[in-house]
Amino acid sequence: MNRIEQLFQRKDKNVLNIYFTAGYPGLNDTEDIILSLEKAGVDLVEVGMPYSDPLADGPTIQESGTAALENGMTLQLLFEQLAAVRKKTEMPLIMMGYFNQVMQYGEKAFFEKVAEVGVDGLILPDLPLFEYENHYKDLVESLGLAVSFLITPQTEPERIRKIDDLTHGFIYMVSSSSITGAKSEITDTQIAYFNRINDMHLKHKRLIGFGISNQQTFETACQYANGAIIGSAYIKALKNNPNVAECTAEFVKMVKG
Amino acid sequence: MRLIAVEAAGEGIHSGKSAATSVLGTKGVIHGSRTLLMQTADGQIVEPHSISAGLDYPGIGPLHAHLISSGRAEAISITDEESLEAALFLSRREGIIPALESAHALSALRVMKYEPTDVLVLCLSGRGDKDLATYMKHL
Repeated sequence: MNRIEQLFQRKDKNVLNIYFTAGYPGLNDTEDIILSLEKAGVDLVEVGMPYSDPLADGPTIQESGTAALENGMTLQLLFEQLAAVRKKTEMPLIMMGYFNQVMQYGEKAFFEKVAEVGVDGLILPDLPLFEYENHYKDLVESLGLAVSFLITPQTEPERIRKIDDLTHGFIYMVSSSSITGAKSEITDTQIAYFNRINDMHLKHKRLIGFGISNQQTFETACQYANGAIIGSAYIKALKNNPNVAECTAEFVKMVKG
Repeated sequence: MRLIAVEAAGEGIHSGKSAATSVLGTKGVIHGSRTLLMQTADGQIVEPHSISAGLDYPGIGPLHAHLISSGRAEAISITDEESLEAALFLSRREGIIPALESAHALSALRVMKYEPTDVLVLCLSGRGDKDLATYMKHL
């Protein structure tokens, strides 16, 4: 069982997953950010592989990705950084990116490298279920990696069941039909969707992401799922205060209240 | 039947300002399709260039990529300037203002060789009224 599955065995409420873009604000901030997030009491860290065409992401994450690429971030460097971080922490780590990055690295080589450096899970929003199931699932499972698939308010129940079968770790519940980015509140329509999913009694734990940005939205998300994922709001905080340790401590305190 | 695909060379295939994907692209996944696309070795998408908005894209449709890769279709490329000349030529001769995208195909007529008995079908896929601002700049 990998670190993500272990986490959900011992904790099923108020799980806080924080996303950051690797290479932002500084090229070599990866270690500092992950260790600061751990110190601040975050449960799970999602490491964004900066990409030129981040389909699911809003302006904040897009800008951080562009800056990270300009800083010189590459997959090879990120793997080196993560291998070094893994020697210092048992924090569950997830890599998030887009399938073309995986394909150009070489799918098999990529999955093997992810496992080798001690990363526990993957989120690849544009990897179709069919492709995963027929081409990569056996390898990914044999390496002990947990792949999280996304569901949205438009996902058909049949597909949600399929995702529940294929997932290891947790299911990523996209809070609304939009891109990533902070929103001011969670609407009644979203809550109806959260309830609908709750009523399906899925096997896997669920984290709500997209639009979660502060204590209020985090608490609401936690009422309807096992926890939440915050990305853009943290990146904005880092933009305003690039002192990673200080910024991270303040930000996580703000979210957890 | 020969199939001929006409791509946007932009300011020239190797000028750094081009969208000639069949020459400059490699296999990858973009916007949900596995196709040929312009990218770095790390899989980051390279910014393309074409005077026509519809061709200013780092990839091509997967069906086109397949036809070209398998050799069923031939690909040739036409520059911004050549497409403009062809568009203005058709507008003046026939009163038909083609879209800049289609003007690339029109321009290909000048560079290809035909037999007198050949039957040609050219896809004039779009209207040029959307491109008038560009045409007026180059009149």
